[in-house]
Amino acid sequence: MNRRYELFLYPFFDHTGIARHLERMALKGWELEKTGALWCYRRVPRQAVHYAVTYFPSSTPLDPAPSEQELLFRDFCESAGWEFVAQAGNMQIFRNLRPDPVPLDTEPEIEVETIHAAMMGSHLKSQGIIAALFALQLFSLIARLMVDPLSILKYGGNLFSALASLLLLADIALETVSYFSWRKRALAEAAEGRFLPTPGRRWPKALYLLLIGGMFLYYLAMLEGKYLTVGLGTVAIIFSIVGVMQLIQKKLKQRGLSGRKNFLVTSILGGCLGLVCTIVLMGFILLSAMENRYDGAEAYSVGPVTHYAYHDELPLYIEDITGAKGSEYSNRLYENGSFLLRETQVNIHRRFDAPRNDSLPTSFEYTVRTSPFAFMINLAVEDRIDFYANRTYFDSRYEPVLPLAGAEEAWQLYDEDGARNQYLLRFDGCVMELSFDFVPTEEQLITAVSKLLHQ
Amino acid sequence: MAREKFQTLTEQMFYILLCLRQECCGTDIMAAVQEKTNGRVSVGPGTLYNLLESFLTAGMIRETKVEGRKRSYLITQRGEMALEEEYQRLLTLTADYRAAMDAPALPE
Repeated sequence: MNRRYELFLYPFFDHTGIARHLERMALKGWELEKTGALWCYRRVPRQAVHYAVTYFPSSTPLDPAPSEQELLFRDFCESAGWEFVAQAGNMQIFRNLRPDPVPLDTEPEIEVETIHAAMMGSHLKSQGIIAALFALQLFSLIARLMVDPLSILKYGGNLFSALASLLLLADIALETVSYFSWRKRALAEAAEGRFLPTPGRRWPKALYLLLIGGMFLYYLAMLEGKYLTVGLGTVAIIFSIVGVMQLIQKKLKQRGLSGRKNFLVTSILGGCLGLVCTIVLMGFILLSAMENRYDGAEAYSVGPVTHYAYHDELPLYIEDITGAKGSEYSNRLYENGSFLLRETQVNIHRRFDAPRNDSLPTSFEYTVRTSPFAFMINLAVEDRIDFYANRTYFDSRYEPVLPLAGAEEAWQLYDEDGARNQYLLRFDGCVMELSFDFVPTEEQLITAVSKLLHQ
Repeated sequence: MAREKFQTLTEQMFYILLCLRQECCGTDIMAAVQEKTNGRVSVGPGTLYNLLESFLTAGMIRETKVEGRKRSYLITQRGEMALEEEYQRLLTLTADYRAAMDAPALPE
């Protein structure tokens, strides 16, 4: 194996941490070849090499070639034995084979100011733009959370998006605070003519990537069927856009376009491409939802009308609580959830081609929400009670009734005609909403609850 | 507290300006400073580049010759004044030191 790749995990300003890391790699026989999303090392004989990381604030990674000033700077470095190795953004990496070379920077105050110019020039600006975009996303999720918390908390995608935005903001904030804290101390040391090494910490970025990666894999593992396709499709699209943008940047760079123009062109193109891909993806999701809405359903006709019957596997069938024949019903199940709350929603309807029998139920619907967290169960209960309380066009509401079927608390739906056959039952770690189109007996309720609790 | 730019000169600034009393190209300055100070003061290439840029902006040196990427510099009158002011400041320091040392010691 003559090549080795690693993720760049140091904060941008951590020049001493990066240089010491490269020196350790050289002692192990790995020499930095190029930087990028992954840093590439090539196998070389083990040797003690001095590395130094400095910054050239006016350069950008999109510049077609090093400027005259940059080349002049590199000439100065070369005359002191410092050989240019690679650059990442406006960070420049040099190495020196002399045993005791004169350091690149010998005036601490100038070093601190050069790093500051590089940080303020591009790095903190781009970090600020990214932070603003994710803060906006987080803000919109929080605003929805305040109004309708369950709609956010029960979907893994929303939770992943909120937690990922929060982690990214925390990562940017940590690096920014860490930088300004170092700068303050470095300036005080520089006033005394001393250098202050940068922190040399990789673990915050490593922890951040581990958490984001772990959360994302967990989220993907929770997805099934078309949701998984959409999830993977979204990831593929994001990576494709980044790949295409990098290719365009490379081509424009080769054509000699200035760094600023290159950035402007690729930013506009990237924005447009992102927008188009989002519209296409949304269209695909909508079309596929329209086309696949009868997926797995059995089509049957009654007269000129086509109906669809589902045969999903359910935790509780109509025949479990009544004498009805299961084959005369359509059984549909919807499931979604996050690690906070799982929701199973079932619609059971009598088929239109079933023999007419007024003594048999025509529909039975239930929703079961489970969570290991009591606050989520409280939210789920409040959500259903509020749903009816806030409806202005139907005068129906849940009213507390004596606990039924072993529930800790129970509510029954009432409207202007009195009690309806719909119940909200709260158990330890579970909320059930059962809606019958017949008056259930206590035994039927107990059987239904028992089956759903032990599903 | 941060020092106002070039109000006082650091050793490295002082010797770079001193070297530039004779026309000198950037890469030669590092060696010239070491030679002038018998290796006591070293100027790193990063520091030298940034200081030359700052001196040029402040009008303390000027570019005299550009041969390819090789650039030569020479001190200006403003640079000479900065050197002179630093020299006077160092004289004041040494005079104060001498006066303090020559004065009779205070009883303990």
